[in-house]
Amino acid sequence: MLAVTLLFCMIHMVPGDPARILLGPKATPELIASMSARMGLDSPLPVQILRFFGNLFRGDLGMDVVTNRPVADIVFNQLPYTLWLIFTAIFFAAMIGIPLGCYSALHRNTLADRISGVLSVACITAPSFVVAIFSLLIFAVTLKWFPAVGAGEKGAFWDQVSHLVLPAFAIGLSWIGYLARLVRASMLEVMGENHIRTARAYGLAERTVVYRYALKLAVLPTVTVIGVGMGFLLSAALFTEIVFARPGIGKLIFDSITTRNYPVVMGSVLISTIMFVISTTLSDLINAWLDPRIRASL
Amino acid sequence: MSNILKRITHEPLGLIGLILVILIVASALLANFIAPYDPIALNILDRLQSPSANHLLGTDQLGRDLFSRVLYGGQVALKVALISIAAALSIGVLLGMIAGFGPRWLDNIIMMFFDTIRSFPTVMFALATVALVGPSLETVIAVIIVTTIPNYGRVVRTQTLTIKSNEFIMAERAMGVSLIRILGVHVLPNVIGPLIILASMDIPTVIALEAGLSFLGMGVKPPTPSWGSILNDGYTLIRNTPWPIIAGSIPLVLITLGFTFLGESLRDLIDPKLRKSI
Amino acid sequence: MTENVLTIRDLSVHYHTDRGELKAMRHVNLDVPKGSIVGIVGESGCGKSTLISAIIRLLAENSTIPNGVVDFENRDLLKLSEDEMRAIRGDRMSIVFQDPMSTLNPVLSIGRQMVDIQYRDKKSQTEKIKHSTDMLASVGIPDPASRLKQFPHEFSGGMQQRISIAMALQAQPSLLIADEPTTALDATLEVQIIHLLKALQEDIGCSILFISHHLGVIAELCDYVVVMYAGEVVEEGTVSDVFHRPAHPYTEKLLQCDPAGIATKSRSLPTIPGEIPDLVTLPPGCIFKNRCEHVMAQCDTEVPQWTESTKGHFVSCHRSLS
Repeated sequence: MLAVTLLFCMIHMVPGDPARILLGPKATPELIASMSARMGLDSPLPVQILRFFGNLFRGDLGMDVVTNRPVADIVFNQLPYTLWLIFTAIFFAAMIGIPLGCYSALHRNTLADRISGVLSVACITAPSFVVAIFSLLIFAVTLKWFPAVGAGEKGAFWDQVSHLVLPAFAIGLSWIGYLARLVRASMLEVMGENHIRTARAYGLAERTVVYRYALKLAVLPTVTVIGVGMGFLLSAALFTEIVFARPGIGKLIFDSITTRNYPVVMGSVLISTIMFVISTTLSDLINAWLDPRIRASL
Repeated sequence: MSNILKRITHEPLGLIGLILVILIVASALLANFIAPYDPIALNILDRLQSPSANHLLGTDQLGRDLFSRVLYGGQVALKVALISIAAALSIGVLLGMIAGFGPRWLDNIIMMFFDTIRSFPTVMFALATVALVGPSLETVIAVIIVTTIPNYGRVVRTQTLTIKSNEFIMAERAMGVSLIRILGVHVLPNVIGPLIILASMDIPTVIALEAGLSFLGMGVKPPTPSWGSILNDGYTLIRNTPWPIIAGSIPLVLITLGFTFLGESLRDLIDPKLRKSI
Repeated sequence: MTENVLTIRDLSVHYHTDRGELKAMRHVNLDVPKGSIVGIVGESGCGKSTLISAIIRLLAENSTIPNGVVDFENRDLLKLSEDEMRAIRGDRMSIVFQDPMSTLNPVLSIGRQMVDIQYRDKKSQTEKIKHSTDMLASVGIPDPASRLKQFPHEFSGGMQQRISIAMALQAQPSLLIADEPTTALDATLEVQIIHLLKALQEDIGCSILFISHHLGVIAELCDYVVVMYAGEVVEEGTVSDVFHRPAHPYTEKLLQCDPAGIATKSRSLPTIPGEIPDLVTLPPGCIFKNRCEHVMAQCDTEVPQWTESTKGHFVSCHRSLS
């Protein structure tokens, strides 16, 4: 909430009339006045803020002054693409990262562990947009294995999937490293705990001990991390959507900012903030569901 | 200091990190001397050349030598990193101390600011600011400073709060020892270690952020070279020649790798209890 | 001589450390007769935990067993494969550990844990649940059927330890090893647990190996007692023999220092002067020599033999032989 208000204030503290900027240098005073009225800029600032939130509760995010469509429509149109992208990226990262971390923990200090450790760090550090551009270069342009642009035909499932691969890879790569390291540390800690020793003392098979008991516990922190990391995910998605010219919230924000389309900016930023809040809450809930100790203290 | 250096170089990763960092920093600092060409000199006739003896990394669409642009781009990156992190550290430390030692309401306000900034995806905040104020290097630096302050502020605040409630501090204050001295003698030494680690881990993030923003056209103004803007040029030329992309990304990757490896080794040294899971 | 369920002869355990080979346990002899309760007494660091880990063969990776025989129900445990050991653990032999909160899995219900360890049985799920419910009732947990669904943190410390005991005795093992089960509990709970163990032992007829540093508990619960010091067994015998007629100087000192046995008030509690020697560079001769009041010239050079001083009473000390 505070963030959005802050943004609102920021926009209005900027020198230069937003309406004028939007319309460009050729606008006449009358046009500017009418645009201001349409954008609601002629009322004092507190009224505007109140009006914005008032509209919000009614589900109305205002009108896009450029294309004259409700902002809500535009934003929710683009949202699914970003959501798909993020979920695929996380899924991909988890599928590779968690087993990798688990394997490293079980075989610690072997050569494989050290190598994957270095690789994990390397993965984390590569900025996602660099990975995006590079994979675009190598896989899409040079090798032509995957398409370079867009999200694919609506309704054509495999086409959409092939358009998802590279962007999800770009975002997911750094998360693989991150999750692998997290799971490794977490596994090592859990494996050293007393109840694991008890399980062994009762003759339970090593596989049961590791996978059913230890891994389940070790994976808990990843839920929190992913929930909190939504901010990073959104930033990464933004870059990736731009590089791959994919539709989505990130690209929407970028485009609307460059065209000074303020209602759309406000709307899309708001939705992203809400997404962020939802994801942190969701991860807390999932954690509580998985760990009875947390449930008890709720 | 030399002790730390020695121990870092013993770790293979730390050594690699140190070498990479020194390499790139040196090349950036010496850019004025070692760059074969003026980075903004146009030479349309030679445009879009692949690497050759004349042009180590080829040329871009305006005939500018990529190698020189990369070297000078390093200067931009370093400038951004140093200024923004130094500023963020100073302000962050100050704010953290104020929040820790000052009255409760002040602490609450400061923490509210910190939390708001942290919850905002950095890139969006940066984009919004840049869009309003116009793209420039100064804007980027300012945005980075603002978004990085909370990282340091929180650490300092936590440490200050812990110290504040220590009994021997109350004793010192009862004896009239000035606040500044308390902060300087008790708080600072304890936070320097974690702060150094945080800062060294932040450097690659900050550099990547600047590059990202420049890539989007929100950072440095052309024709100033920045690794991000080189990548931007490369992006539009992606189907023609891969070299701008390669030129722009290599230093970025190397320096982030370098600082991260270095930071990891530093962390292992300064905070040995983190090693227990290794 | 009754048959033993567990017979240990000449067992040694060494750990590889950076400083060298740590001889944590040396030539240990131990007898656990069928149906009896044997106590192991010793201060921290005497090797009790190593002994238990060696018996169930869950030692750390850097350990070796250079010599010894661990005869359990006529099989040498040291010679068994890991699979064969797994078959024994939790079935023929089980352990109750010291701190129940950390030994029970916090994210699984106790019912789930108790049923999981019955994985060897070919019973149906319902039967397993019923068996666990009955076990919980026998250790004094009220309303066991519904409490099976609860999690460890929902129980008090004393109840958690009862649950651990129930888990350990579920499969009716021949030997129950209890590693300081009451150390983490307060005195009233301790008494309850001891009585519980006694009752259960009579009921099921298993043997118990009970480790503790609390002499009073050992005196009340156990039939036999073994005294350990710095990785060696220094004395073994019935409780009345060892506690009333201690043969080893260390045992004498232990009894003197036990706060419960001190009759007159004094300013300071008696202690044993000196420290445990370094187990990496072992001194020659008797391990207790640097703290012993009765040290003789022989103690400096010769390791005392394990001898039977009176019937059923073993000691390793030069003084008792002379």
